[in-house]
Amino acid sequence: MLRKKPLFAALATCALLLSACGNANDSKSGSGAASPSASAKASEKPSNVELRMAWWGSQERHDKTLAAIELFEKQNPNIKITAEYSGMDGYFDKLNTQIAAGNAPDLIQMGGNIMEYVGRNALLDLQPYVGNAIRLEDFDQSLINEATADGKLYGVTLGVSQTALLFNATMFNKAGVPVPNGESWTFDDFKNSALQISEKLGKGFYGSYDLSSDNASFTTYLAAHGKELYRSGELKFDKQDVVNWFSMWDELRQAGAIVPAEVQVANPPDAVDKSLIVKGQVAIQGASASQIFGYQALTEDQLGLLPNPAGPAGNGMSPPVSGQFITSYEGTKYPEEVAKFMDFMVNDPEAAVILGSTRGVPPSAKIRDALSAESTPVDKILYDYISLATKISTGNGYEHFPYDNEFIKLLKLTSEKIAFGAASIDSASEEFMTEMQKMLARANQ
Amino acid sequence: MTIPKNVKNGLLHLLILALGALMLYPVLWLISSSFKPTTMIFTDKNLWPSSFTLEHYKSGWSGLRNIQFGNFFVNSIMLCVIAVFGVVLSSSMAAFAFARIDFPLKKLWFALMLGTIMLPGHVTLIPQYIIFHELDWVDTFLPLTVPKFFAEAFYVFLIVQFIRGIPKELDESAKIDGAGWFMLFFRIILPLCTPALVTAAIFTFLGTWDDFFGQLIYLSDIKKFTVPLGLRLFLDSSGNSNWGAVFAMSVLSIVPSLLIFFAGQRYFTQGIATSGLKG
Repeated sequence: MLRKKPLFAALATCALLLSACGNANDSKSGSGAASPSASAKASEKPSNVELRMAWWGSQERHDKTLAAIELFEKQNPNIKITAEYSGMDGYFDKLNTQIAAGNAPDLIQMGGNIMEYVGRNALLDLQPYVGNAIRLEDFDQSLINEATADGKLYGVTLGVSQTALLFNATMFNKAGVPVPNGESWTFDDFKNSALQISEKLGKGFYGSYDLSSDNASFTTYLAAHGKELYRSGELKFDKQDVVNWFSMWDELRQAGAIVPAEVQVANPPDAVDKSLIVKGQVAIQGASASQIFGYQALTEDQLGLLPNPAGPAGNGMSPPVSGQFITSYEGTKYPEEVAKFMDFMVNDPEAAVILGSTRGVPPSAKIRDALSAESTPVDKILYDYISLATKISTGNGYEHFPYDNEFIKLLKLTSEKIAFGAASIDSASEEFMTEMQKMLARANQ
Repeated sequence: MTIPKNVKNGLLHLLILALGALMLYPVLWLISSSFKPTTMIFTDKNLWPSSFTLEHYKSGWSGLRNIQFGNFFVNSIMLCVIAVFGVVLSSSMAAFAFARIDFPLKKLWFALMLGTIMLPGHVTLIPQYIIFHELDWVDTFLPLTVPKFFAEAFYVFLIVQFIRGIPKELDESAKIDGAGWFMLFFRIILPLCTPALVTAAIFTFLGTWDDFFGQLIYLSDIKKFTVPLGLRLFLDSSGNSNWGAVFAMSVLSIVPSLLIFFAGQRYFTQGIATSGLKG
């Protein structure tokens, strides 16, 4: 007969021993110099450095990143990088737990939420390495600003993206409507294309999604008409602009050129697997440019990218923005090796060939030129689009509304009220302005 | 006019079949999608794929760099076997003590144990992680297996209820024949508890097999990944998901759960019914 008592006693003692386990990790990066908080083991030139790198992504990204890491290890035999990769699900939950326990990876892939982690003092200040270990000369200044807080750099952009209109070229061809020239097309061209496509292809086919609820389209429209959503504490548009915006879409809705409200709610364009553009029933939708890969993979139709249409004040688009960053944990023992790897990811031509555009278009213009020789057709559409968008963007830069998420929800709600016929354009626009003013007052308090 | 009994029965079965088909539809859709070419998964509405491919099974099974999906199955099954063994052994021992042995403050300990069921997992997550980190157990299987040997409150409760239904006379006659506590537990109580033990085993197996978050937090090396983590490898937020592989591997991943469930189904319902009634 098994005697379990000794085993239980041993395990119980073991559990009692685990009381002292706080993490005394208090170093702040206030002194300008890099301040690795961790133990005194970090010497001048460590012979065997082990780094951990975490990222989320698809299988393709995993494969390419692993290949790039192998190349880096070959070039730097004293550094070994352990990869910790997963899907998007739970990535930040795991990271938060690791940060709380003082056990976060040395290299961390971040998204648009980078400032949240900067605010928690979880990320390493990279400023001391800029110019020597990390070279950013080929980067657009706006990309550097995005990862900078209080004059300190916390992340290096891995990929660039830009809002865009994703279109189904096969549908344009089927309808016999010429694909618009992105550099010069206007809102009138947009309306005509949408009307013609829905007319030629008949019932169940639409020229465009109803983009009146799309915040990127709305803000670009304002800029194309010489207005702005928000700048330095003020709304820079008035009710008439909102009425014009919704009237334009209502006109298309009455003509059957855009997706009706009930269909759009059931098949939202931002869900790749539900988007009607993939099914060849809608010709135009809003998207982030690099998303074209995901949409194209699910359809045999040919997809393409267009900038937003131009208004009297030009195109109104902002310059391309950063999609993802590589950052470092504040408690890393090897900040220099971390900086070296970051530079490798964005500036090494061989690494660039391996990584391609798996995290968006490469941010360095030099690397982009070097890459276009060996790109796939979809890569080329994306690169060309980013170059075009950089060229025609008015460059004014978009200033986020203080309650950005609430603005996005409000715009969607207002748009749906009008689309479902629950409110007139005039009263809905009036209400939209009131709510925006309220939020503004709250933000300016 | 009366409806003949067999017609009535037939109608009833037809209704049940229709409801069953409705419930099964998502599973059938999953299976059918796993055989469709990627471009057709979300565009072709037919359940019967008009063009048939095994590509997703191939790319899902061996399309990952340096690792095969089979490794994830091996890891998951190993975790499940250890978890089932640990939970069944430790919970039944604790339950036996609570049901049959008198010791000081027994009611208080029982209440405290039940209290752990009420404690939300999120509260203990970070302290637990810190403990395991200090022990240097992170990125090993230990945080996911060792706690299973410390009994789980829900199963202790379940088995306690079951043991209370076993006549005390059996214990007494065994004691008269000279059996000690351990002999009594292993020879008399444990065999009689089979339905409750099988219930605990199945619940533990399914819980461990489907657990995503615990395994995500503690396992980082891909060689130690389990099936739920492996499936998530194919999914990406920016729309580059390999849906076909996700569906194909999901189909494979429900097979062990189904087998275990069908194998233990008889005991399973018995265990719930008997322990529930006596509660």
